Amino acid sequence: MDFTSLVAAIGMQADPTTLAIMVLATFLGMIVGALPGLGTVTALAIVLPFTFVLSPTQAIGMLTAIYVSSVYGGSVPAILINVPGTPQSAATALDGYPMAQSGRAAEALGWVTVASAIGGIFSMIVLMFLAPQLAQVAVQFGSIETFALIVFSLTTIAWVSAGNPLKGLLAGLIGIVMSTVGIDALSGVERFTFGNFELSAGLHVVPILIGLFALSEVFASAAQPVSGVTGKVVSAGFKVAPLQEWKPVRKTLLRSSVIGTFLGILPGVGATAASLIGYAQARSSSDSAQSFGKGNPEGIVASEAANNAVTGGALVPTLALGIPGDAATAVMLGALVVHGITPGVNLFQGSPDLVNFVFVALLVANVMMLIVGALAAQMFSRVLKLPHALIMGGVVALSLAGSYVTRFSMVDLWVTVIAGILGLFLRFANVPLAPIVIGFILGQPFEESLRKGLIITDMQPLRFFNSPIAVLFFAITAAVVAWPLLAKARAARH
Amino acid sequence: MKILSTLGCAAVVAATGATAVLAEYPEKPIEVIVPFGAGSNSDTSGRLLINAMRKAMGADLVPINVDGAGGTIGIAQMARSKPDGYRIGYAPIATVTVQPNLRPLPYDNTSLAPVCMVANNPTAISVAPDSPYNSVQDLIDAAKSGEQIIAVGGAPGSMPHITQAALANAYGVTFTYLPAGGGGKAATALLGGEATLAADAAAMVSQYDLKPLAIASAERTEMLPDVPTLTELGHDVSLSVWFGLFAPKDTPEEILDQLSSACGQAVEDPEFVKGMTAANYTLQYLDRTTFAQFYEEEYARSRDLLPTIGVAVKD
Repeated sequence: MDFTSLVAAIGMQADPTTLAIMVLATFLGMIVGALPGLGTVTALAIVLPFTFVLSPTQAIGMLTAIYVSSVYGGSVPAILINVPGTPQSAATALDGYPMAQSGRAAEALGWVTVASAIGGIFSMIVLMFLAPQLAQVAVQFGSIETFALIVFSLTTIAWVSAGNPLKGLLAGLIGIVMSTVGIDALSGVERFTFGNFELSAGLHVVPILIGLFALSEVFASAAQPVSGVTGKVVSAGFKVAPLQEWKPVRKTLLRSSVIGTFLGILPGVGATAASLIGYAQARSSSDSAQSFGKGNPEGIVASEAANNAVTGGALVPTLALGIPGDAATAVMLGALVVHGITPGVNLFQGSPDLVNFVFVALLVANVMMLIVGALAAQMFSRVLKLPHALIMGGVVALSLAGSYVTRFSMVDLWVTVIAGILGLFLRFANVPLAPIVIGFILGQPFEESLRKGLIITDMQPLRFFNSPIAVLFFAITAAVVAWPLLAKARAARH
Repeated sequence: MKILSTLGCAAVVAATGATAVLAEYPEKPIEVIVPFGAGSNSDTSGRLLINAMRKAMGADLVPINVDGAGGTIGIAQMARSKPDGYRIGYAPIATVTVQPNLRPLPYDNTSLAPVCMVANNPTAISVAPDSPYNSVQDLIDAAKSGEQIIAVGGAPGSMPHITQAALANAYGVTFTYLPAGGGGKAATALLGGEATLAADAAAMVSQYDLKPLAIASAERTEMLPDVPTLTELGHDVSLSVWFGLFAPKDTPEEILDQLSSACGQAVEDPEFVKGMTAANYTLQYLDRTTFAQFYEEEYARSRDLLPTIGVAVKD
C-alpha cells in the first residue's frame, strides 16, 4: 500500500466538480437501475459519451458512481412492487417484497441500503489491498475450475426451494432447459429455435425474470383482486434498524460480502448468481430459516451485500489484468481505454495515483449511495400509497417496456408473457420460482465450462481431477449433498 | 387549417419529387444498429463513430444495441428495415461475410448497401509469454508430432476461428478449437495455460503482454514492426478484422452519398481518431464505392475460403 499516492488520490477526489458529477451520477444510476430492463450496463453505456468530455478522474468518478448505485437501484422496485429492476436484485424481492407488503417498506429499504453499502465497501477494501494477488486467482480459474464451482453453486437450488427440494429441482431443470435455447456457442448449431430466427440469439434473463416475478404477480392478483391500497404503509420513508437487530445478521453480512467479492473476481459468474447464492447460503445456515421468504431481513441483507460486493470484485481482474469481470466492467474498461488509461499489469506500477483514485472513488460512491438512497427512499416508498389496481397496471407497462428495450426484440415480449403465465401456474402449484432463475443463469456457464473442459482434456473427464481447485469444490459439493442424508440416517438410528 | 397546410406542404414535396424529400434528410433521428452488447468491441468503436457522425451531419444518430448470434440478429433487423436511411447498421467483417456463408440467414451480401469502412485491424498469431513455442514453425512441428495444440477465440464463424483454421490448413495440420470467447477471454485462456495460441487482434499482444509469432494480415503492422507476416513465412494466409457501416439495399443513392461523406468527415474528427487509436483500432476509410467493391471481394473470398479450411458451409 503506497500512502503518498493514496493521499494524492484523496486530493483528486476532493475536487468539487468531481464530487458534484458523482452526486448526479448516483441519482442517475439509481433511477436507471430501478427501471426494469435498463440495468447497470445500460446505465454505463448511456453516460459513456459524456465521459469523453470529462477529465479522466471525473470520468472514473462518474462511472464508479453509476456502477455502484445502479446495482443498488434495482432493489427498490424489487421491494416495493416485486419487479427486480436489475437481474441482480431478484433475490432481494424474495424477502423484501413480503416485508414491504406487511407494512415495513421503510425498514426494508433501510436494510437494503445499508447492506449494499457495507458489501460495496468490503469489496473495495479487498480490491485495494489484494487486487494484483487476486487477479492471479482469476487466471488460474480455467474451464475445469469454473465447472466445479458451478456444480457447487447449483446445490443452492436446494436451499431456495422452500422445504420442497423435489419441486425446487424441477424448477431448476426448467431454468437449465431454457438456457439451452439458441445458437450453441461451441458448435454453432441452433437448438430449440423451431425455425424462428430471432430465437437463435437465445433467451435473455431479463424477460424471463420480469415475466416470472412481476407479470405473474399481476396475473395472480388479477385472479384474486385486492381493492384499495397495496401495502399497509404506516410510515413512508427510510428506517435503519437499531444496532441490536444488526447483530444477528452480521455473519450473513460478512459471508455474502465474501461470496460477492469472490464471484466478482471470477469471470462469467456475475452479480445475479452472487446474490442468489448469498441468499441461499444465508438461508441454509440461519437460525430463522423458516421465516425466509416471508420478510426476513437476513434474506435482504444476504442478497444485497452480495450483489454490491461484486462491484469491487469484478474490478480486480479489470484493473490488474485488463480483463473485465463482467459486462459492466467491460464498459468501464472501454471508457478507461478511451481516456488513455490502459488497465493491465503495468497500471499498478505505472500510475498508482490513478489506481488509488479508483479505490477512493468507490468508497465515496458507496457513501453517496447510502445518503442519496436514504433521501430518495422517502419518495420511493410513496408508491405503495397508490391504489393497487393502478400499481398493477403500471407493473404491466413497465414489465413489457423493460423486456422490449433489453434487445429490441418482439420475441422477448412473448417470452415475458409466457414466463408470466408459467409463473402463475407454478405459484398455484407451490413450485418455487427462484430456482428457475438460478438454473437459467448457471445453465449456460455449466454446459460451456463442462464442454470446454472436455475439449482441453481431450475428452477425458477423469483429468478434471488433476486440478486441485476443482477437486476442492467437488469435495465440498459432495459434502453438502451428503450431509443432510447422513444427518437423517443418524437421526433415524437413534 | 393546420391539416390543410400540412396537406399543401405534402403536395409541394410530392410535386418537386425525390430531391426535395432528400434535401430534408435527415429530418428525424437515424437509428444505428450495433449488433453486439454494450461494452463490446463493436459497441465501443460504433459509439465513437456515431458521435463523430452526429457532429458531421448536424443530425441525431442513436445507437441501438441488438445483441445476439454473432451480430446476425441486429444486422438482419437492419436489412429488413425500410430503405429510407433512418435505420443503418455497424458491423464487423464476420457478421456480414462469414456468417451469411456459414448458416442460412435472412440476409446476405445482396441485402446490404455498403456505406463506408472505418477501420481495418491486423490480426496476429500469439501465444502466452512463457510459452515454449517461439515461432509458427515450432507450433506446426508440435502439432505434427501429435501434441494437442489448442487455439482459442470466439464462437464458430468468428474471425479467430476462421484464421486459426486457415493457418492449420495452410500447414496441413489440425488444431483443437476452444471457443472460449475473443479478446480478454482468449487472453485469460492463454495466460492460464488452457489454450496454446490465439489468432486474434494484433492489439491484444501489447494489451495482455502476449508473445507474437506472426502477423496473419497482408502487411506488417506498426504496432509490431519486427513480427513477420505469414505470407513472408511462405503461406498465403491474410485476414484482418474490418468494421463498416451498412444500410438496407435499395436505400436511395443520395442518402447513401450523404451518409458516406459524413462518415468520411467523421473519421477525420480528432476526437474519433483519439478514441479509436486509444482503443487500438487501425483506421482506414473507404467511401461507399470503394467499400462496395472491397466488400464483394471479401464476401467472395470468405465463401471460397470456408470449404477449403474444413469449416462447414451451408448448402
